Amino acid sequence: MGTFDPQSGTTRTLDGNGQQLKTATVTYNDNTESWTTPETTYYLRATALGGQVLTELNEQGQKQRTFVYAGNQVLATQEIIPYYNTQSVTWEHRDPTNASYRTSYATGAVAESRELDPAGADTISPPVVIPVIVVNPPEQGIGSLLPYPSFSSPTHPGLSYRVDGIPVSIDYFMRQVDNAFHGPFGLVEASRPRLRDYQVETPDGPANFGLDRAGATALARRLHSTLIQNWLVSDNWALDWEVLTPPPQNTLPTDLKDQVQKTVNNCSDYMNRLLNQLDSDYTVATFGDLFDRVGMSHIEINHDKFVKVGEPTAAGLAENNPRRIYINTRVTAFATVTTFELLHHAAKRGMFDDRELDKAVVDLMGPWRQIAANVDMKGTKDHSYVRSTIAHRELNRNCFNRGRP
Amino acid sequence: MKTAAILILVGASVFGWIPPSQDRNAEWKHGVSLLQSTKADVEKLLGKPIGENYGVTYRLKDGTLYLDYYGFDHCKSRYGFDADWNLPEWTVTEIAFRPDYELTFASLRLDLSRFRKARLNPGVPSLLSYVDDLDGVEYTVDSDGTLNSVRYFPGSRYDKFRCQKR
Repeated sequence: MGTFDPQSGTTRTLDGNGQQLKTATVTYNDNTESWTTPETTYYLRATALGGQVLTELNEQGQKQRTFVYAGNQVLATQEIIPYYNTQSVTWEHRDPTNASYRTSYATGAVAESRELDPAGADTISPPVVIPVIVVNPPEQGIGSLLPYPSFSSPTHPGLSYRVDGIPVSIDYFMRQVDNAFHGPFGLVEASRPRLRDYQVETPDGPANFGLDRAGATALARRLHSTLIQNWLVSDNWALDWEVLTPPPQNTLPTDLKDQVQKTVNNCSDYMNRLLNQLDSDYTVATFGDLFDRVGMSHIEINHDKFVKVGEPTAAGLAENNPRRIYINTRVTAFATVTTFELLHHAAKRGMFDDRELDKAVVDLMGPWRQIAANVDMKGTKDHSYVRSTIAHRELNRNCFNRGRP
Repeated sequence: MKTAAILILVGASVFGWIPPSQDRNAEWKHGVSLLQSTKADVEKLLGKPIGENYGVTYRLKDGTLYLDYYGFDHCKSRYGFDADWNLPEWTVTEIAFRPDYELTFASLRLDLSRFRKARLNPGVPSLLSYVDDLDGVEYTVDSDGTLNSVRYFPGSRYDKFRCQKR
């Protein structure tokens, strides 16, 4: 009876969330009768993409392969070609049913084509290793909304590709994505979600839904309107990404007050209108006084507080008696979170609650968006309302992300 | 009949048996009636507000009044959204008031058996809400027992004004 020894082994290292951080693979070399030096691959994950793997790096930190996603589905992979050290982009094209599958090179030439049976088995091609990793299976019934070149879906009419608002062909769009996402150092230089936001064309102009695909889709259906996915194609803002497992931030920046003031100065008109609508005595000019009302010593990073009140994943909390602001660990946008929480403290007496902030931002909208937001606030079967979500969305849109592409 | 009504009013003023919360509710609504007052009525009463369209703010002597107006014409859908109420556009559908003065929730002497107690504000977890789903009232109370704000909305008592579900 023969025995079989393993010819290779892989060690996987997981982080606290069970996500793979690195793999170390060793292979047995028959000629030298020894195990090779482990080949280690590190995985750079993007929190903004739900922890999906963005780039694989080798031990030297060099990029080996990068993934571009549409929702949870891999849209393309970009790999370093050994020896030549050049980059190769392979785009993946699937139809909405996953029955047809193509990969193509950046030139447009088809690299691989297959037709899959309902079970996902390849019906025409010999089994080969697909150079694509789907890290998380697409959500049931959602999948990618992007129509690929030869597989435009009649179930998603009206979707278009735009760069700076100008409709472009998918080929041009993809080139822009590729050029923008990869810089001279090989690593991904873009620092924000590939998918920036969803918009719906309305009689009052485009309504922005941020990353709320369900809300945007529901509205587009109601209006029989166009659903637009806006993808980032240029970005130099490098603070949003979380590379592997950065150490939790335990200290606040000493110039937090200045950073907060800078944040509100950036959207002074909107912020003043919001504070006026709330009937606050504070304005952008006196936002420093509002900061002092809470006080630097009463702003703290404290994850336990979030766990205690049953909001472990929230970014910030506000509390009265005495006035306090809590910031969760892993938050890096201290100024943004503090600014938002300060709005709760901007009441003449007591606190503005989440609903009051939601209502105030809604009151600043045009009539159509007010009606749409009020429908959201009532909560519907397919889009339940959680207080403060509208305020966060609008503040991001009109203030915190203002001026960014 | 008229005499009886006078006697009741006299009794109310002499013996003070009208629950304080009713007095407060009338005071906090500032003459605005839910599902009855219109924008024209309100502006005649309180003047021009802060804001426009369907959500407005009034800065008053004793606090801040926030109002929502109805954005549909009776039960006609608009922009693809279904209407809720068989009411004219610009009818008040929500009244919220934040008093500038301090008041304990206990001093309202409410019958709490009618209220649902809930934490409805994830961003301000110390605030506690007492909600009467029948009459449509929400009191938001701070951790020290101070009343933060009060909100009047169409409770189930007003279901007769709802549009039929399609």
